[in-house]
Amino acid sequence: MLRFTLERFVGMVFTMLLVSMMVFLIMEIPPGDYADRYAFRKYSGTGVNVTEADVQAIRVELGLDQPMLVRYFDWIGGIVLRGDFGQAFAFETSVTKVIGDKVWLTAGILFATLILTYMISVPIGIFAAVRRGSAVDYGLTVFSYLGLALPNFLLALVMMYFANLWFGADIGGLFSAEYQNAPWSLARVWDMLKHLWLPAVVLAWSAVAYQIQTVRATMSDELNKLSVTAARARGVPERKLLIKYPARLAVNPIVSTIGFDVNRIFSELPIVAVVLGLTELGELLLKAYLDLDMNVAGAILLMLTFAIVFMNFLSDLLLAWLDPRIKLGAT
Amino acid sequence: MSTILDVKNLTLSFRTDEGLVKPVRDVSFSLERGKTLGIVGESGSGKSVSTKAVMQLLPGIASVDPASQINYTAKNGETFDIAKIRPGDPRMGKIRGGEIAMIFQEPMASFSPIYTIGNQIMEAIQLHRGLNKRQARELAIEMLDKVGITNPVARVDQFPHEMSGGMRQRAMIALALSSGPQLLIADEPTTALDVTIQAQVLRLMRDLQAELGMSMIFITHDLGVVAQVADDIAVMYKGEIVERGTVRDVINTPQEAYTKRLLNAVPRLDRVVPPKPLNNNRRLIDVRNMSVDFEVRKKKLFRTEVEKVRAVNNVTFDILKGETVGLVGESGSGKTTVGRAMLRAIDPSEGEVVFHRKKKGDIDLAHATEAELQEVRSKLNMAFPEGPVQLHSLGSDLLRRFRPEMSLVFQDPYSSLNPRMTVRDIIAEPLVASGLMNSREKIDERVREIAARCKIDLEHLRRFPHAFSGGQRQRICIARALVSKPKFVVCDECVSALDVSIQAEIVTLLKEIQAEMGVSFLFIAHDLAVVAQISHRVAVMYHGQFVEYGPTEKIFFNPQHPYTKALLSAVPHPDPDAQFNPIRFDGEMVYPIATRTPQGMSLRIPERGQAATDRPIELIEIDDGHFVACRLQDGPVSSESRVLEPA
Repeated sequence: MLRFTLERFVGMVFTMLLVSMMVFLIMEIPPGDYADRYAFRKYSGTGVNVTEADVQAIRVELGLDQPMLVRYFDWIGGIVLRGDFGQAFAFETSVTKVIGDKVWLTAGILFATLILTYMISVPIGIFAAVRRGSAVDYGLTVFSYLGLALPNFLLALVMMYFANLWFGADIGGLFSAEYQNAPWSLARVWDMLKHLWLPAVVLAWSAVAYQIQTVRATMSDELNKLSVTAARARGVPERKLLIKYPARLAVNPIVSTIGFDVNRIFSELPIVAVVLGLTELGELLLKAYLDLDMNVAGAILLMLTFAIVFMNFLSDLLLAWLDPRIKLGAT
Repeated sequence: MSTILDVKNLTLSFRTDEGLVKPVRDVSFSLERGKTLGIVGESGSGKSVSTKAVMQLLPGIASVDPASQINYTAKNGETFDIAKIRPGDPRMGKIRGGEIAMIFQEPMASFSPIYTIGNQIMEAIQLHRGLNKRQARELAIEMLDKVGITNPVARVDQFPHEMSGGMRQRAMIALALSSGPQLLIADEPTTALDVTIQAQVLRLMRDLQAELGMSMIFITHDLGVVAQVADDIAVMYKGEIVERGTVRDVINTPQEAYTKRLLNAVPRLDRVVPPKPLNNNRRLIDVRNMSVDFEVRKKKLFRTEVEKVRAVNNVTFDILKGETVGLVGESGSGKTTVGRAMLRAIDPSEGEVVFHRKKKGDIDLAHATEAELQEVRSKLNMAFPEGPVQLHSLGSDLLRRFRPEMSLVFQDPYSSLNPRMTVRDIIAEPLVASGLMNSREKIDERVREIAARCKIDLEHLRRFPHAFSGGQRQRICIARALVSKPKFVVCDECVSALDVSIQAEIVTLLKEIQAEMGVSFLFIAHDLAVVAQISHRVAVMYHGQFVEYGPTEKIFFNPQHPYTKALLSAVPHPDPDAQFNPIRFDGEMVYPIATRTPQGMSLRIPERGQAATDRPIELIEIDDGHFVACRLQDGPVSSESRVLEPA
């Protein structure tokens, strides 16, 4: 297992390296460079005539005249060594400041959504497979299609309406007014959790619908395996049998797609965030693209891709634990 | 003597899309304590499903008819009707495993791949024996040892996929017996195993049954197996028991028509009359010193190591025109690889495969128009100038054009037919793919001709394969293989998946076709009796090499190589009075030493531990056309060695 872990870890670091290069290339794609845009923004409307020499001066000052490889190492080195993502151009401050708390809020939403998705879909999917063909099963199938068909923003609106109706609270945003700008404290975390469930439920909705079908399908296959019949024939009690044999393998496809789920949830986040009045990274990413603020965009992209690669690493380890054949096959 | 299980009027109903189906009707049988009941029947006869009812392991769509009784006498003497016990009753949990244990056909699939063998055996022990984990582990190791698994202390922590099929089935028996059942239900436990392994497992089960005083229900389609293990026998046909009685009575003097038919269809090695060797020497294919290597990739940390495994090692033989050469051997011996390499489906690594042809462009398309014929001829002539075709060195383009001359019939008629093509299109495919025929009418005509010959209803040509039974599908496969009028067909286990009665029909069909078309077959099979029925000559393979090769009669009735002898002795005959004493073959290969004598050749087996000669192992002709793998030694027979006596 140690060797397997090590192998996958090395693979993960290598992938992250490649990904960071690609992100850097994406940052370089928009026409003009940081110096151009900096100069334009600084002097536009001031009546100062900007010459090519001025821009070149800025370029030298910011180190943008260096070859691409050097700039890449500057950029990634700053991130890895100092946690410095460079200057956010549009906000005239460091990227770190711009992103700030949003990282943790976004991570919180992502994480809560993932947990919620798996906690609901795995047991229900297993249950549906065991009761295949029953009314419960058909009911869940209908729910699944509803979940898949319903747009997120619509669900968000509907849920916000009812949450407001039943709980009365201002349910939009991630914090109540009094905690909006308060420093981090236990109370503030609690307040966040109280607000977190709504976006998590909205985002988990379609994921649950989808994953129930996945678990149900693999569980149905596993239930028909001879090894399950054999276990039943040696008298293993039904509940223990279900968990020990088919269920452990039935979660396999879910575990192997944790990385995809992260990506999917992040993509769906902005529109839900707009409806629910959240400030998070997805929205910021969009804004950064529109402003051609590539340092901010790059930082967010990098964090997202790193998160996905890391989740994939975790899912590899989890899979190897769930199904020892994977580990043994690799060595 | 007391009855342990008494099944009365068992009727099962399955709710299916086609309505209510009754796969088991009015089945009654009983089992005495310590005895073995064999249930025989062909696939779909309901033999397996009726025993599943005893364990309440029926699928969800099944229901037991209220009139059915499954009276079971538990260890504590209490008798109750399992058919009346509701699911979830604690008594059932005790019966399953604790009182009645079950082993299944597929040793691959009956263990869960994600837990070790030990984990699953210990689970059964802890459920029924009330032992703690450490004791359970000790007992598991003891049981593994008892079923003949070497090094059980290490094996107990292995995963199922780290074991061979035979070993897994032993482990399954260990599991079943470890919880101390008084009745063992074995559902085709040896069907998936090689014949030598089957013999070992049968013997093991017989010994353990005697030792533990267990009762046993043995479900099988193999009358040879049932004759060796069972006391009583019940013959099932289409969901009903047609005949019941002692093994001796039923097999020696069957009363019912179905039983008689079944017994007639079984190929019997002890009574077979093999075809006489052909009396010509018109060679069709020459295989000379052919070897096939496979590359096995082993993933190491950060790199991949490529290892070569020799699947076929230096094989030399020939096939005559219109001849069937049988190829037998256990799984993994390289039979299939020989067949595929001869067709160039895989490339031989060394050696030659030469395809002889009478005259150039020797192609016989009876119904082609003159223009078509011209076209085909010119294609073939350009591709293949006069003389034999060196198949082993043919480039891919030429090989494709040569394809219609050879073809292949696979083992599994279910997966070898494309479900999205009609039967007509399936059969026509070789003609279309090779460009041999272009006109639709001609193709149709040829397809109808060969389909009729293979006894396929012409009405069926428009249907899709899913509508057909295994036997019908195999006919389609054969028609497809023969549609291009090939000279050579490899039949790779082509009757293994079929019931005996269907098997007999297919074998007859192949013989008839051979007599008419003069086609040559390489008949690969693990069932020695079928091979004996159809083959003019037979080759026995072991670990990629031929160990014995010659006329069928000589191989089966006068085997010389110890491996051939072991293989033949492992076949159980459907004769309750026959002695079943398989020679135990433990994998250590002893090659005989051949010496030239004035009379010809004499063979002797070197004593154990005796230094083997440094001579290479080679196929030596010890008799007319009878080759044995041995080491050739000059000089007289030494006194301390024993001379092989003819069997």
